[in-house]
Amino acid sequence: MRITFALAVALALLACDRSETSAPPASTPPVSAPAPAAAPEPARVSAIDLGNAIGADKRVTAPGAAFAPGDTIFASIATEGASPSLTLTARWTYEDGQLVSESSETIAPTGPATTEFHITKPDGFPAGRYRVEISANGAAAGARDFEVR
Amino acid sequence: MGIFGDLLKTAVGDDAREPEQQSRGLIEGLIDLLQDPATGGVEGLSKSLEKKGLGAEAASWIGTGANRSVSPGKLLEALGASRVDAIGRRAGLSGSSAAAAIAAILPALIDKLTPDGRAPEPARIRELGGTVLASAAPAAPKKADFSNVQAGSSSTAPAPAPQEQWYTVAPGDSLSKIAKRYYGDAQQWRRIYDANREQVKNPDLIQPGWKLRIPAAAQKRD
Repeated sequence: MRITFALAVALALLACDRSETSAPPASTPPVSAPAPAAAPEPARVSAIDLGNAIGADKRVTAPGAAFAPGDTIFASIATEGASPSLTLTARWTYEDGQLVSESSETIAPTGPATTEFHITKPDGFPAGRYRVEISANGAAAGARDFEVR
Repeated sequence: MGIFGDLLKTAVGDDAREPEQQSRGLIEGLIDLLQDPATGGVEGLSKSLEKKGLGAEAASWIGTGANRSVSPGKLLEALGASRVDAIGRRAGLSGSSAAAAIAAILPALIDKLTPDGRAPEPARIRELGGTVLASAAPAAPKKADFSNVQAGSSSTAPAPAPQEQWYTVAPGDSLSKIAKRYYGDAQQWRRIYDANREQVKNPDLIQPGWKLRIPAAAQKRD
């Protein structure tokens, strides 16, 4: 009887240990990638370019800061480094402070990457000065001013 | 910039932050003053100013010749501080700035209200004032409308891997309930069942305390 009780206590303790583990050991996927010799560089924004067209590499084909009302306006964000999750946000505003658009893109870069944000307006953007502010995981990463003529 | 905006800028300098809008507010305030029965229209105001020694100035504003200027101090004395402040508030101005602004605007306004050199009937002041406002101090530009702006994004970088989750079965749970909680759809219980076949032999029988792998929901990417 005493042996049975001790066995039950041992099993219960074992169960407790398991309950505190985030994943059951039997089904935890094996770690396949060996730890790298040096930690990868954290992802960061390295360049912001504006243009009215991009290529397949998501880079603007001709950087500029002046647009026509009917243009699609692209902001091409170059990042370097790696991150399991990097949320880039583009916040576009008009000269009077009005919010034009805000959108985000979450990526997991493993090295240099380019992310594009774009805005269009079917009836054309009003002439004036604009700004796009880029943030990475909520931290300001840069801004660019441009004009619609 | 319109004539009234220019006059305001010259009179109060940096206090004219938005000269067009401020001068518009002053004109509206002065028209209200002229329409006030206590004022008696342009003619009544002219007589009041004459009593305060500003008759020649007022007559020049109504007449077709050049307008004579009036000092802010004398105008303040003639109109009274409370009136000057009330009108000045329409433009966000007070005290000496309000008096200076009104001293600059009033002669030109009276001049515009009396194109033929005669004081109009008080009943016509609103109509004439509207014409002055429309021609001299344009309304605020319409705010730009960005409601139909379309936005998008894409990246050369991969999307983050879906996050697998774990769930500890509680009393009363079923795979359907758990599927409803995580996917919003009880019918997807089989996804959880399939991911936990080693532990769950019978999908209708799960035990409290079991830790179940919850496969990530289908990943969305534009």
